[in-house]
Amino acid sequence: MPVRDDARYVEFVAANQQRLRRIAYLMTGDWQVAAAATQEALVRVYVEWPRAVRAGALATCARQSLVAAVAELAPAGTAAPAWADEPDTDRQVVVRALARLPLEQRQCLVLRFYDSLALDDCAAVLGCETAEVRARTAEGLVALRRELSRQGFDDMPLFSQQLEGVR
Amino acid sequence: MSELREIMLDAATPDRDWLADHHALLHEGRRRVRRRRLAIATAAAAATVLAAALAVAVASR
Repeated sequence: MPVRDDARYVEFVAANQQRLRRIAYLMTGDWQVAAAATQEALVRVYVEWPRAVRAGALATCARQSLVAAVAELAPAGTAAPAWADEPDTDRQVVVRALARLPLEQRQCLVLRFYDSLALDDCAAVLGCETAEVRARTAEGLVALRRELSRQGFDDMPLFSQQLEGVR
Repeated sequence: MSELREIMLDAATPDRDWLADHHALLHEGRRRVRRRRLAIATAAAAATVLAAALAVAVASR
């Protein structure tokens, strides 16, 4: 039975912390909240370590822990990112628009497009059916496009390719 | 690379360096593991006591 190997755990943390923090940032729109969510997710990975190693599912365990931590720390996203008073750049606009989407849609968009997870893997992380992931992703893309348009960024690339891909 | 992924990659560029606190992670992780083990042991002990009490009650009938 796998035991908690602190050295391997620290290696895992070092190898995954930045990627997890970036995922959390895209889900929350706030680097500080993202850091807190990542720290919490990594503690949960430590607790689940033997089970996750046995199942060969450390990466899935880390993503599940992160999704749960984000849902607890920032279920509604962040209304006012730290750079709200700075001139808008494309990336700020997208993060702000993402933060306004429902949590389930944000999770699907970030895991599918940023983390490049397949439908099955995304469903395993979120604990739902693949059909549900497909539906949430499609709804999320439509909502994101609507949100960008509402903010006056009609000229931003509107993901037509992605919309076709998830239908 | 899809357009949306490209924008997300750019958007997720950190504002500053950050590293998880390994010592805090290990400390808190060990604390939660101990707490979980204690909860399991407590539940097991409670079940044992309950089973013994039931056995005594049945035997004394």
